[in-house]
Amino acid sequence: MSSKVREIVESHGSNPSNLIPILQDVQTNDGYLSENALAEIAGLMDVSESTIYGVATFYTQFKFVKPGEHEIRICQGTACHVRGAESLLDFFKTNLGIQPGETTKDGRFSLERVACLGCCALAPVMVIDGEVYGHLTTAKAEKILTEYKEGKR
Amino acid sequence: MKIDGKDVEFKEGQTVLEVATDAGIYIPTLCVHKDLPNFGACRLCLVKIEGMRGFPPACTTPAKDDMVVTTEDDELRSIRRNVVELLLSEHPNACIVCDDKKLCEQYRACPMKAGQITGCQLCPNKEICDLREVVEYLGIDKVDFEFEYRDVEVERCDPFFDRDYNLCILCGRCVRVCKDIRGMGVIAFTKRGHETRINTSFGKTHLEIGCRFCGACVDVCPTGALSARGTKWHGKLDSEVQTVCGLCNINCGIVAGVKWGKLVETTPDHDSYTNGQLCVLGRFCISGMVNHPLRIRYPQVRKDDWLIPVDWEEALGAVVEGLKKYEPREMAFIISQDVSNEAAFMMLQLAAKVGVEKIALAPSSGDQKAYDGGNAFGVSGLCQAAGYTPDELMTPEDVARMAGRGKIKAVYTTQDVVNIDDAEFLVIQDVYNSHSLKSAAAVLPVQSFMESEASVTSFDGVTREMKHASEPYARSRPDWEITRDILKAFEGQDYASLGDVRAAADAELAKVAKPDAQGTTSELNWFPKHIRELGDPPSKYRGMDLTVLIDDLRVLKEGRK
Amino acid sequence: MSDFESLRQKARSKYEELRTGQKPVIYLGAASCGKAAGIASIGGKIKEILGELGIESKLVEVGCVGMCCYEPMIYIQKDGKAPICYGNLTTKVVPELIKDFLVDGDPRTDLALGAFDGPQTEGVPRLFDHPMLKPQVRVVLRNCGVIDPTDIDHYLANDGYVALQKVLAMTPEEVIEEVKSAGMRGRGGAGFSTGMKWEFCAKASGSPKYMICNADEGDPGAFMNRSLLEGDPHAVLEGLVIAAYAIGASKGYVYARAEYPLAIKHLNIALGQMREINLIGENILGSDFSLEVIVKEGAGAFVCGEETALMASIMGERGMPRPRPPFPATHGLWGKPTTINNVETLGTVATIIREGKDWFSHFGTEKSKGTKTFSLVGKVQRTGLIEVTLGTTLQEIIYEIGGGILDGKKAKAIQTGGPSGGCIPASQFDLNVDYESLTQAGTIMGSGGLIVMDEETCIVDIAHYFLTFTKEESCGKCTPCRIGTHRMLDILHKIKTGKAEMKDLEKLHEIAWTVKNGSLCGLGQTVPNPIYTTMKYFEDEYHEHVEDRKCRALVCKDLIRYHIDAERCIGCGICAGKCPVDAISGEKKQTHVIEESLCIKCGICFHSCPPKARAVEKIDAEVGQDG
Repeated sequence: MSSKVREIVESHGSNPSNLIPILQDVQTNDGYLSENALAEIAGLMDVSESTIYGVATFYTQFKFVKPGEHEIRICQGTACHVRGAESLLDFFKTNLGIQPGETTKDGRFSLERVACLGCCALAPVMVIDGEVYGHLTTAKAEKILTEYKEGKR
Repeated sequence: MKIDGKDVEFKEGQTVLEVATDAGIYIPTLCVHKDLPNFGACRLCLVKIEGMRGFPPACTTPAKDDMVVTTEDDELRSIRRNVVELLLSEHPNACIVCDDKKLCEQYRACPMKAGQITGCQLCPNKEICDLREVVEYLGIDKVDFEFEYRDVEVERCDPFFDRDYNLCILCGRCVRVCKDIRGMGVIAFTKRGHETRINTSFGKTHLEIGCRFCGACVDVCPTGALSARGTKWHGKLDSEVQTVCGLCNINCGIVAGVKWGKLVETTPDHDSYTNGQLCVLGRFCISGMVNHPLRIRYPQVRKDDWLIPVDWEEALGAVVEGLKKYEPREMAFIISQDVSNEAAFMMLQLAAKVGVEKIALAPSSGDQKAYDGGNAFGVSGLCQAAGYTPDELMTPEDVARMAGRGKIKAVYTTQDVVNIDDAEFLVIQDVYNSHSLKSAAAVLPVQSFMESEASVTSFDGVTREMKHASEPYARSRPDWEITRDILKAFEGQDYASLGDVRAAADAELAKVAKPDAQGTTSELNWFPKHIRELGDPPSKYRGMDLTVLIDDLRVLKEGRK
Repeated sequence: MSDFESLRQKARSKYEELRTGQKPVIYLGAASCGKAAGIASIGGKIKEILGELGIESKLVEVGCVGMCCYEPMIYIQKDGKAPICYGNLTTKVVPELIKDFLVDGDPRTDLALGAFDGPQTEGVPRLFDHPMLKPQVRVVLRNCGVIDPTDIDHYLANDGYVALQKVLAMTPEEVIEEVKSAGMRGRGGAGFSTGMKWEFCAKASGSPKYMICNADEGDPGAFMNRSLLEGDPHAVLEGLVIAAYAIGASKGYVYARAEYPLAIKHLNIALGQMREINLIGENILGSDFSLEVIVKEGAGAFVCGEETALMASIMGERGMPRPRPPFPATHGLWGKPTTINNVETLGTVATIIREGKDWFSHFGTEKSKGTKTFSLVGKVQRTGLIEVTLGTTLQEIIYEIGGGILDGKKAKAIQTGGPSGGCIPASQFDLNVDYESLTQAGTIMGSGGLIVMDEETCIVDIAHYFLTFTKEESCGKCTPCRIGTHRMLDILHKIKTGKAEMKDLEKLHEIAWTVKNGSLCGLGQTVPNPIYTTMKYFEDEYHEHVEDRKCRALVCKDLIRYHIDAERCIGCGICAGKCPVDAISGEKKQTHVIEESLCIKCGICFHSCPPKARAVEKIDAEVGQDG
């Protein structure tokens, strides 16, 4: 039993309408939603584990495996798409050798597609660890990625 | 309102679909189930309503005055056809569009000849495939899509039922029944879009996640996705009998499915007071219990330390002769709370005739819930009517103890009793070969509650009838009949028929207060809603540990720990 | 004078002092887009320089004025004159600019985009005369990029909450009537009369009632709501309180996308400030009206923009829509009467009340009143957030405001309404942007995303893109949308990869029809719109893909190949070095060659070839192939 999960549930209250904010806070704390955390939330809220899992898997925000050290999110909005987001994504897929939703074996990078980030005027856009990078090309992206790999960022 | 040009009446709160169904107008649906809250997902019941945009679903649209509804035209037919075709593009469909399906249907619930690749061979559906019915109604005989098999592994890791989500059409009935009716939420919709699946949290087994295996999900599944493992291949049933379960005193309504004289499955009776809900025992265990090889096959009498099969006449003769050797005060009768009113009544009649005053109820009522014991209310009511106050009744443990001290020498019991070996003359009238048999002087095989007609009085005070569903096992006979024959030998009153016994028993029971006094009526309000609050079902039948009989039940019990 | 009036007076003088004070003020365009463009490092540099130069200056973070293509952007205000706006700044230029302007008094007219309203500086044009801004009418966005969104005094000083004061003196019926007769229509997509929506809920029995602001702006390519919430959250919240008053709600929610952290932050700051001065809470401004408002964060599901799904999500459930009726107006959150309005709708409400229905309804066309914000993005010169009166033509928007197509290419189409909308071909750019005209053209107004496409955009690819999006965002509840989108995408994929036959196009049409008519919610019912419009206006391109296996925009990977022009290749080896599959060979200073069997068409060589050479070409797969 982690006291943190209990603390989060108690701070929101166990009303089922607080389920999503609770899951968000647990994920902020743990980086993802683990089997144990879900079971614990279920016990504290008196909602079935599967129901919670059903809610969590509905929303793309929630992750169920530990994310990598750096989270790379490639925007797939329309503006980004027409300005080449797909080849950007392809670049990361080949460079890191993983598919969106996966984490590299060394646990350093995880890759994700995200729905529009709302920075369409700067398309194509990606976010690494909350930092937004705009007006990208594969060449620019490679430079940025290398800096992360070398620990310069 | 008007449906298809026909003026129809409706009640406030009814949906268009309900009104149409009442008026005898068929509108196809897959996700609707009469016991479940409406969902509006399958999109087959779309209709046209004047003044409303698009194609509203009949199942969720409330009926209103002066509504004009069209349930069928070319557009609606194309939507339905296309929707079903889309479903069939992912649901193995050979058995649905196969030319030979009519022939197959005569023999099996589900046609089985199509190849594996189409999945039909793997469809274990019950006789009723809602999807097939809809296909027939729409006259679909080919599917214009490349078939896309989901190719997910069939889940067989849990007791009692299998889950083949390749056959699932995501109607959500199972999810709704589990959460909304049974209060469990073992399964849920997970993920979304085309990836949506019915699943448990992180795909845990149902055992791990705390499923009670009531089988409600299996019963509402319109395809073969969920299927009871024990009974999935028995094919078309010969007959179905509405009766009640005798394992606990709720006495849920069940439908006994019989094939070749044997009980092959039990399913919930939707017309019963328990609204088509059962527990794991009633849904999955009865047929296994009834056909179990541990059943006692023949009447037996101990000769030179061996129990020898004999005919009924000889067995009963030995019983009567044996009992006659003892003083009434040296005798005790143990009445199982799992026997019918008629059986208990006859035991009490015999006791009165012979002068036996030591009556024990088994199991002792101290540790049981209100609804434990298949006929607890009926049996204890009859004892009360016969003049025994609860304090005067003994427990089987008392009997065993007194037998140990030589105070009781002859025991006539209708269930297995622990430590009864010290009784000099032990008569066992039971269903299963039990521990007590090793010291029994006579063994009388009894029919189970599926094999003989009888009545029980449930915990709500209502007397319900059990029907003769399957053929009696080997040489077994009904409880009441055996005791009647013994009573006859003691020159007691002769009851010619079950009807006579029942009338007499009912008259006795009428003397006893209704269960309000026992404080059980409040429980009626929630039953059979939330299985969570119901607690575990009884673990024994006539003293026999059910986990010994049903392997899956043992798995369930052990898995819990 | 009431307490509130004295608060307003104080706010006015505080704002006045900021605007006319002698101390220089530097405003930073710090909305999400500004942040993405690097305003943080610009801001850091400015602080550094100011420190070095020993200049005392105030730094104020403001929202987005809408000229996103000029980000990062700052405005400098000196000597009480109107702030001058500078765009496309770099950390290199900024020190120069600060020094020249603040020390030497040179406003650097060469870098200036224009000056805001107020005392003008010679040689600097007015910002609102800029070609991107001139055709615009700023009603909803009037404060965006002008005021500090985290300071309620700025909003109060600009007539903030005047409308609320006015409303509290009116009856709810009068408020509804005012909004109804102003002709206000929902800005979230369908364009239903806002006043009527309120009326249904006001008349519904049941209590409590709920007022929800739908800030789940999910359309890819649209960010109007984000900008408004980031730049002027009080405008939206004032509208929310007014709406709650009109329908009799006692609890309000703002359901915001989790992808918009800054908007959520600003909303929460604003709500805190409102609570302090009793603009929410018990007995608002001394009236009988009480309202509590909280922000609910979404968790990433486009379908939650649909009203019933949004409510399910607020209640902590899967965001799966349910059939209507019953409507939210009578059976909404927890079965109680509920109204849901879009951000921009609520952002407009206060202005209608403040300025009056007649003022509002003189903007726009007969049936589409007022102004509308759009995010203008894609292959257009000037991208950004704009606001125009309804009825403005696409032509004006793309060519006057947007400055035409990027890199002098030819326009192909414009996509409106997000995944539920459709593509309008360049030949119809004279179309008026209003609810009716767009619907007639087969698309919808939607929330206001405008994505411009040029000849390098493949129309099949666009349809494929939208279907990929909706397939992923479909909730999976109803059959047509769940399986239908998947099947349509299958066919589009076949078309894109040159494996389709003509009969697939028919099938595509048939499924589209079923999904449109058979789906449960607005998402499903509009999924086929991008397919319908592209098939209608760009039939040729579909046929080319199917019959000739050709993608004229050279986008569909399976129908193109990369090739190195031997004459232009300078043998620098960059492409060979970057190729992830080692498909490029060649000696240094020699012509390089792509081995087609190895090439995965990732395009890295194409993008990395030095501009002076431009030797890597993207060509039709069948051109120049042997056999």
